[in-house]
Amino acid sequence: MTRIRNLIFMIFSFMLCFSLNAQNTKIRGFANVDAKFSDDSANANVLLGEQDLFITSQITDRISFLGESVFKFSPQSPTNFNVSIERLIIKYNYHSNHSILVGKHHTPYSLWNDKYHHGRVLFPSINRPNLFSSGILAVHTTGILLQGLNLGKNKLGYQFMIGNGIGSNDFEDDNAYKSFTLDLHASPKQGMRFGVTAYRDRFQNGSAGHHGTNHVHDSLDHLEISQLTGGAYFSYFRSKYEVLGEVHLNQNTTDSIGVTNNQSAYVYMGYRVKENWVPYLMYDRVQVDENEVFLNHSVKSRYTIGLRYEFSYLANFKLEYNRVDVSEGTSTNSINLQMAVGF
Amino acid sequence: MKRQIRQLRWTILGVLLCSGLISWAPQFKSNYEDLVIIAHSGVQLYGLESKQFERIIFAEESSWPDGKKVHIGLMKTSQELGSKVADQVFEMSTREFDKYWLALVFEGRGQAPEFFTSEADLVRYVSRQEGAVGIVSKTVDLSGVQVIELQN
Repeated sequence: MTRIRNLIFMIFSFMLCFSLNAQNTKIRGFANVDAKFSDDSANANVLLGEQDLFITSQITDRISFLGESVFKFSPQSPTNFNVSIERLIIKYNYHSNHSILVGKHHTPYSLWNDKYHHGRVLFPSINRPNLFSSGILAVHTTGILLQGLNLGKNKLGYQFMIGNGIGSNDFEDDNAYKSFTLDLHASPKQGMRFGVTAYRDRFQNGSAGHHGTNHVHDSLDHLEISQLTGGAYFSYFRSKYEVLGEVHLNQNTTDSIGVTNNQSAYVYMGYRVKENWVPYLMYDRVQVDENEVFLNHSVKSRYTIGLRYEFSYLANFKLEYNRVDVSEGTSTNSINLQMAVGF
Repeated sequence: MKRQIRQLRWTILGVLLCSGLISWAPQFKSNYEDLVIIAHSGVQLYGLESKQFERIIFAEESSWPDGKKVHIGLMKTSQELGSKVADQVFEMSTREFDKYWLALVFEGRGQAPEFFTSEADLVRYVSRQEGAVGIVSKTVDLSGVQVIELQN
């Protein structure tokens, strides 16, 4: 495993050196520091968030590179910090607004995953939706992506991806099946985007799930699971109004257990009261079927009321009250703060 | 299962209704009082419409009608002209404008413009870079570049 990690790091370093010598290379980054006061903990905690570096390089008129690496706290690491390659994409723009992209991507499923992912200064709220921690969402995919953006009057777009899928790593697939992701969207007005999205994969129970989530029942390892996830999203961000919402249905099918249905949805609304102040509300819910074998069963709702102060487009401060209700558990209340910057 | 499908249908319907209700529609202007749109002398501009140009300057089109790659040059919003361009051409506040380009690059949707603090440097960039386009004030020396006259 260490050898694989070293190899990834070497390849990434090589790509970095290659990019830096190319024309028009830019290095940007994001970082955040958070604080949390919660009624399930006796302590108030200040915590380091992520330090995200992303590099873009226009290598030729048609070929470009995007690399993103994240440094974050990890108690499993001997140094307490881990470096991970979040994206490594080589893009070939073969005609007009149509491109083919190869490498490791934020799976073009879910608007939040496509738009924000690690860019905390771009996040409208402090945390990602529960969709990310539920295991429903395929956060990253290594594979080939066909992309068309801003097509026609209504700025239609498509993204179709074939990737290694669940249980695979960035070097090999652990089974013969590939994952398929489709995103169709439109942006008829500046600041608006809506669309539908789908993800399909087959894998064995016991495979490492999305974003490190694990299977639930060891006794059911190697049970073949067919996964189909579909969803819709809408976002509108203009000078005063901010609206963002997604809904997703996830269906896992096995021969012996049958079909389980899981849902995830969230809605965010913000209103700019002054040039730099944006109060906002967010409701976020995940429901995992009680017969589910691949994901942990739970029903989790989060209610958020928050305030964002924007020093500039590269620095903001967020203050939030969160209430989280979990099935078969007690509710927790917390006050969260975040200082996020871009550089 | 039926109930969930029904819920999903209602949600999608809600999303589509919301998108229909929000009817903000910017009108891209083809002429500006103090500003002039310039391009590299090699760019074929015959019959370029204002709608087409809007897509180009917003980096929604990656190439000119003749297939050449678009390279955008703009003034920084810390400069008076930069904030004027953000306001008059893009109809955005300077914060929205800067965030627009940061998000575009981070999402991997396109290439950010080259930003300048001097108009002379911007004109020089447009004159040298094939496929380049920029916006400057009418008072600046425009030698070596062509001026874009848009058709409505």
